[in-house]
Amino acid sequence: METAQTLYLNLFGEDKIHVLKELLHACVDEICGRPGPTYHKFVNSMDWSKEEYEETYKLISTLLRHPASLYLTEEKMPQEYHELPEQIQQNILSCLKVRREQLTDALLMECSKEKHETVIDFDWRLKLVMGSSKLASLREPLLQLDLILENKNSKRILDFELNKDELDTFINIMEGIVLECKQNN
Amino acid sequence: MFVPFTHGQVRFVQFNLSVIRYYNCTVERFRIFTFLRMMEEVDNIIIHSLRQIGCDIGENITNLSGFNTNTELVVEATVKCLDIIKPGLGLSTVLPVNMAARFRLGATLAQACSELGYKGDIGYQTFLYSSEGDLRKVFMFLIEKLPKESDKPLSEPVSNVALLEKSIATAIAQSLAAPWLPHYCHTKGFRNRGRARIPYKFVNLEIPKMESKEEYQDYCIHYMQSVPEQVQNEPSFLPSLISYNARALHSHSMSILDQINWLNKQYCDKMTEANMPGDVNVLNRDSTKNTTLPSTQPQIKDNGTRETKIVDQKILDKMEKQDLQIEKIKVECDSLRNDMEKLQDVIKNLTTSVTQVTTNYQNEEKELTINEEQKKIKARIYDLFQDGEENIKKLEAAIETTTSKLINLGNQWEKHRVPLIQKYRQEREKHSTKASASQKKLDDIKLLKEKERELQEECRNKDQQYSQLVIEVQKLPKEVNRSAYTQRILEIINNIRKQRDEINKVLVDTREIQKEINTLTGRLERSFTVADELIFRDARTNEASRKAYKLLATLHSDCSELVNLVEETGATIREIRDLEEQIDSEATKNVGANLERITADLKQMKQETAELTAQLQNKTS
Repeated sequence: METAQTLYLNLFGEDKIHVLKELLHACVDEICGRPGPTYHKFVNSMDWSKEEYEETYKLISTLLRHPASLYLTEEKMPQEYHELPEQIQQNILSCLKVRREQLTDALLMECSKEKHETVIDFDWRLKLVMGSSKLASLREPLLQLDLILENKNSKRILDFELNKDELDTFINIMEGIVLECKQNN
Repeated sequence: MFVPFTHGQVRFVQFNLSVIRYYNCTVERFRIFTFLRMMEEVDNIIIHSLRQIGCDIGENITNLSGFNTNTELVVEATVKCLDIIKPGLGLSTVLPVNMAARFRLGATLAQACSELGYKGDIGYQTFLYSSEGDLRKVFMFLIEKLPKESDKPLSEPVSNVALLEKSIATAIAQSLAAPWLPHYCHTKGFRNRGRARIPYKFVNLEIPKMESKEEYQDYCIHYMQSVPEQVQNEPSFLPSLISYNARALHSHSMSILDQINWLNKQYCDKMTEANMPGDVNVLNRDSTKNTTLPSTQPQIKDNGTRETKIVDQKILDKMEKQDLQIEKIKVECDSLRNDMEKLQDVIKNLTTSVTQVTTNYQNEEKELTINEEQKKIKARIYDLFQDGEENIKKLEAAIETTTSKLINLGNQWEKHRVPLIQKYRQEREKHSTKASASQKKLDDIKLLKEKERELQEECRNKDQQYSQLVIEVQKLPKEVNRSAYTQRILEIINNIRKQRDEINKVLVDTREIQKEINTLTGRLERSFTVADELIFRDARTNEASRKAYKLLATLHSDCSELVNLVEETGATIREIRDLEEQIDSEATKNVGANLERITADLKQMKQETAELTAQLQNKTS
């Protein structure tokens, strides 16, 4: 299979280098959560079958998704990289060089979502409690906090109500975590 | 004979007339006077309370007659009164220009008044073409209906804060009325208000930076997507911008290399995790790879030079040696592990046996101690067996001495005990009496405490009342000139008393006059009958006396006619006065002015209708 994919990549001749570049960047865009490449977009410029396109696309995206390739050094590149012709290697490397930070961010987010539930959004509402079953008149502000969490394949809302003290402790803990991260560097 | 009589009768008639006139005049004057005073007072009160409500009444208006020509003022005052009595009528205090609207307003005002319970005759004319008396009646009724000072604060909201609280309370009541549902059950409900409708979905925006590197510039020019392209859907555009800004403001806490290292570690972990179940297989595969690789590689690189082959061979040799070593070590490891397991088993067995032995040992030691004690007792018994009888005797003697000692001790004990018991009993009695006394005292104290508590409570209540009253006193308006009012009331009472006295005097006078009239008429009758008889007797004989009798008869009839006439004149005078009064009352209703106004309004209305018809015609044409 690998050899077949490399073969497809060999389709990119000297004159098709800009198409290769476009495909590479489009793949990076997709990883970063933007619209990615489609067969229709490249069918005119490249003149290949759908299967050929799919295989090439798969190879490129696995290469770009591999965290080892972010080091930008020849030695640490994944195995598939070394099987490619030198010109294509160069192009891939330059693309990586330009898009390194974005790729890292995107991969970090993905990895985090894969491992744990990750907060992607939050929402809050302030409510004033006027009374309870025990106290007829009570004026306690309550914050209803919704943390929108995303997992590898599910999305849920974690919601809780906090009074003033609880909110303070919550914020303090969060700030403490951020501070610790900064000090560790 | 009858000249003085007739003269007297004429005098009497004159007197009678003058008395009646006097009486009538005083009563009339008095009535008018009291009426005017009373009206003035009432007007003052009405105008004062209207000013308090907030009507803009000029300083020059001191009584209700000033209202007569001022329809706007009348309407404004009534509307304000009605507004306070029954809030929410929504009438405007400004008199409309349109005549029809004016009549409508007057009619609604009249209806509102009659709804409130006004019993008199009321209609739009009462307000639009007002007469003083009607207005006075209406305003008196309305001002009586005005809410008193004490219940004012209940109906009126105090301040902006109170208003805000009220609105909050209504909003919360509304929200409480809604049934509880978990948040995900409804996205539109009242409780969910405040939830962001658009989720915060963002894309990492990329915006070209000032960088001179050729590759970057190339990328920016040829391949970078424009911002609208980067954002797939519109709602995530703003979030993307915001997070771009936030990213620019807060730099990453970790360096990019650290991040990449971490990512790689995670990746490796993932890979190994995926391979975990087949851990041994991996090892085996590695080993097989190691073995197979060399065999395949030479095939592929058969065309290569021999040197490389030799080098490969060497590497192969080394590999094999290492494999052998590994095998050896593995075998050793296995044997060692077996040994270890055996030894551990032995250790386990030994420890169990040790515990058994220790328990046995402990049991036997216990038995030993018991046996030793038994042995001691037995040795003593054997000692005593040697000369048994003597010992028995000795023992009996010892027993006897001990019994006698016991009896002695018992006697002594009894001796000591009796007085002590007595003492104890006495003390107990004393104690019980003391205890009862103290119990009584305790009860007393409790009662006193309860009383104290009650008194304290009373005191507190009184204090509260006092403070409440003080607050009420402070609340009460201090501007009310109570003394002026009381003085006025006293004055009025005094006036009334004076007037009553005068009335009484007049009444006594009239009664006296009545009496005099009666006596005079009686005397007249009698003297007439006497004269009549005398002259009648003479008339048969004397011609002159016959004439005289005739004259007397005519005189009598004439006089009675005169008296009748006087009475009639009195009645007519009274009638005239009544009529004058009626004229006055009609004059107070200022019909003339009202008529003028009505005609003016009629003209205006006609004009308006004419205009409207003209407009209608214009439209239809």
